[in-house]
Amino acid sequence: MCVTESLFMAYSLPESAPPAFIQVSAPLAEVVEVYDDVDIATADALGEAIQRATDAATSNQSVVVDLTNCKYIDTKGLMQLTNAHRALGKHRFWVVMPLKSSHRRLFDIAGLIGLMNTAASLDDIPHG
Amino acid sequence: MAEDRAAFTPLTDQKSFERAMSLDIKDVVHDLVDMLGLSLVAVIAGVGETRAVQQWMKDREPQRPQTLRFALQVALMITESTDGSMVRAWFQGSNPQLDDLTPALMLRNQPLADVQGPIIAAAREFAAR
Repeated sequence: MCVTESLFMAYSLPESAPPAFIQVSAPLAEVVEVYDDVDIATADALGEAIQRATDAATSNQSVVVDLTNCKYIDTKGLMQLTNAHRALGKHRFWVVMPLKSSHRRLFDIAGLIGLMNTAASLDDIPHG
Repeated sequence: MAEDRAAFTPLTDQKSFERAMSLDIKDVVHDLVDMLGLSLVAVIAGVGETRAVQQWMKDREPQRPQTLRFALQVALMITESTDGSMVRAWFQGSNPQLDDLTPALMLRNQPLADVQGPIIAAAREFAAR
């Protein structure tokens, strides 16, 4: 690569990166790890990421949305999670958030604790 | 470079730069995954799945190799022994020196030329503590 090309690569604008919702294939689940805020601007992208994970999951796998690294989620994000819960059913859809996560209060206010499967970590999700 | 992956020790500015720029890109990705994990490397690189990162360690070229080299340079400046949790926390945390932005998301969402200076300055400050 010549100097000009390498400089171009270093300083050219990147293509717009999608919101940081990272799909991870685990043995018993397809996981969407959320690193970006989930709000009106990104909620649809979360829905799409959940759909891709759903399409990739086998019948033996759950679909998990991991909010451990998510700093903010609003009602638009909750709608996407609720939609996934309705589509997949209680046996196949989980949301991970630490016990002291601020998201738990939002889930509680929205009446989702007890309705939707939640776990403090991936290891806490029962399988089989 | 496999023998170097067992432990990472903090490097000076110059040494971390030299190492990050001289490694084959596959080894850059390997070292980053060792320190940060697949998911965080995917965040930094601007992709949506860890499968892409795994492919870069085999036979595919990442779309943003300079961003990954820079991330490795920074990680090598701030790492402490073999505990990757601190380095991961640094890349994922809201950094007051970066207007409370997260370094990993800055690298993902902004042009590298715009964020290199502030991130390096923040890393130097952290390494000097």
